[in-house]
Amino acid sequence: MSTSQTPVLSIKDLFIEFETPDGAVKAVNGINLDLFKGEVLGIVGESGSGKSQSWMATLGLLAENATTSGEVTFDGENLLTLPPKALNPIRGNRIAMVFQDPMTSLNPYLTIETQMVEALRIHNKRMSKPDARKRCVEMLDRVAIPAADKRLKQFPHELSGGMRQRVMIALALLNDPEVLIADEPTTALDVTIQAEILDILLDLQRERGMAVVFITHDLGVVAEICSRVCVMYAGRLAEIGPVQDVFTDARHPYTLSLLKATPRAAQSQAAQSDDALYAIPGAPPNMRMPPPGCPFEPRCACADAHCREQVPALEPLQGSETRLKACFREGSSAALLEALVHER
Amino acid sequence: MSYALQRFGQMLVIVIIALLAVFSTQRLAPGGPFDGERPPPPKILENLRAYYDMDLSMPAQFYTYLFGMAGREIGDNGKPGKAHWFVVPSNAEITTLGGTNDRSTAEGVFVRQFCPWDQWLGQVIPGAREQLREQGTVFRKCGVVRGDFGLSMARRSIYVNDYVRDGLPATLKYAIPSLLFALLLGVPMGFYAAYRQNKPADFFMITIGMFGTVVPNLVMAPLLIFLFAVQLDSVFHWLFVETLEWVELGRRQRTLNWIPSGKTGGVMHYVLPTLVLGTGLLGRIVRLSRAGALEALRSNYVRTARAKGLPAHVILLRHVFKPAILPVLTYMGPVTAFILTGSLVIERAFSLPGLGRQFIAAATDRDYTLLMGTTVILLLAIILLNFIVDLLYTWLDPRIRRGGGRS
Repeated sequence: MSTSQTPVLSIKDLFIEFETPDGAVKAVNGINLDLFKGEVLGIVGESGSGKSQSWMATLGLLAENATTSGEVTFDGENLLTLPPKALNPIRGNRIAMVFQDPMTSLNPYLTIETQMVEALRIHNKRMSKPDARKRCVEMLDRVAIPAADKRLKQFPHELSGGMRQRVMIALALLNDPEVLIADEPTTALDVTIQAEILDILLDLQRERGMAVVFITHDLGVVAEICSRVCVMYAGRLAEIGPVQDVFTDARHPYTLSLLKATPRAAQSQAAQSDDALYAIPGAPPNMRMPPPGCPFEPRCACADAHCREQVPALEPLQGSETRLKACFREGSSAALLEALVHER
Repeated sequence: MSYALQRFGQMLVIVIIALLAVFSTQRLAPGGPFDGERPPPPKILENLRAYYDMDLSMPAQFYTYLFGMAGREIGDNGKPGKAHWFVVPSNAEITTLGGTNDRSTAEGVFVRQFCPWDQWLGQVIPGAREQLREQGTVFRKCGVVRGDFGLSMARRSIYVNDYVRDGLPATLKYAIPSLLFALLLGVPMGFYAAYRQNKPADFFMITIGMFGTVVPNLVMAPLLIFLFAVQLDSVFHWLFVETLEWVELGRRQRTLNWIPSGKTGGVMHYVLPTLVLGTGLLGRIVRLSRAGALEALRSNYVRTARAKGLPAHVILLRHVFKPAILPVLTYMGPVTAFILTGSLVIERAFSLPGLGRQFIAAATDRDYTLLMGTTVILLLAIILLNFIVDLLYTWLDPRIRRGGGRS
């Protein structure tokens, strides 16, 4: 990963708040992140950690009650402040998204053809319908859908879940985007189909050299396909780094706990745990009233008084350019692990 | 296709059951069409009852209502005698009792009874038969099965069919415009409100919808009459003096021709009824289409559509329209049936002819045949419209289309 080049998309101080009757939910609290050309960036975190929302925000897909602040820079423009009219030529064209649930993400009332052709023709006004159709068939072929010509005429409910997700991927890649955001694209699918879909995604990524953001909570998948991984907790980044480094030498207690909680994460140290499945004690903080200090502090075995008062900043590790973590605690992964085991 | 046939069979069963239910309940209820403050003398009453076949047993009455009856013998002293369903003995005469003389001619008597197979039975003056046949449809049919609802019992010289034939077009003249008004205005309003949820435009639309739903027609009608026909006259006078119909009231005084005095006709008479009936519907339609559009707008597939970079109007028209119109469609089925069969309030308030008042008259007069007729027409309208709505549903929602019927 050549990190010296300029990023395709960069997020600066992103905050997202949702206005609810019970008070504001602070979903994302200051994220700084760069996405580079041609990389596969994994975003890992548990439900509610803000991993999906921060990327929804870049495409202006947040719910009505959301307020954002900060900057998402793409091609010199701040996507967060762009009006929909200026955002529309970018989304679906230069930045595309694949969603989690293929069952509901396609419109059940329209044929696959209608839904694919419209995505092409809205960005290429001069493209004729037969041309667009041809391109759709090619794209469906590319994602390994048999009898693509026939499939185009069908409705989403006539396709299986895996097929639908392939259609979603084909749909997202129709306009050859520079950035693809894949929001848990395989969570709703069988494991075998999951592997196929991931293969297709990776193939296409290599072929086109686009940047892929892969949002998931499956560490196994991240290890398999991502070049860099970014761990999120309670709307903040906990740790960023090359996948191999992070998984073999995690420096944030949360990352370590996650790895430890993953069943059969074969190569990591965390796998040397007891027979019982490890679970991180406690629950994520209430995002209506986030704790004043480190958000992971209440569940952290290595926390001290300092952690309770101050939020640790995301800082590079000593002697490394590519790795960053947000923890006061210094020391190697082994030392942290010892503290974790000790606490049990 | 098989789906349509199956539905048609279901409809038929429902119609028969409903007919039986209405027929038996109205006859079991106390009172009858010939009871009143001054009932007719017993002899006349006896003839009347015989004429309407009310002296027969209930099942027999229902049979004659459905299929018509062949004829009756003339008994002793000219009293109505035995009833014959299909075959009348050669010595039997076709009787005409009651006020049907106006339809009789010099050559032949008017007879209402035919056998189920449309074959003339009984005795007629020679040569009159062909002539009678030529004279018109009235002679050709008998029984509900053949579309003949019989004679009204309260006004004995008028056929129920004639009531409907005269009343239905008059009703449609204000019913159809009001339906179109409500649909063509309400659906876009609901969609726009959903698109601008919780914004001033949304509240404005909801308020209009609420007003339409909450204020009943019998309040709205005089309200609009007061507004348009009394208060705003000078404004219209000032706006488009000659383009509209004016009625001269007296010296230098005139009013717009809002309400028929004398005879109905012209567009003006139907403006206010359309508004009154339309706003009532409009409210519901706005709320239903708004709710439907909101649900669709929150769906994942609309999120996908937005992620594609589609502009708002394409999303609303292509991705939201079909799912959002479905609840409106469900509502429109029975409501259209009720609107098409008339509204007493509208007809009374604006002095319009129509079916609506026949419903009430039939119930209060215990006019069995008229009541049956109006009920059957309402029933058929409801069933038919629900059928149409179902077909539209399968057309709009591909999941039903491929799932249910094997077409």
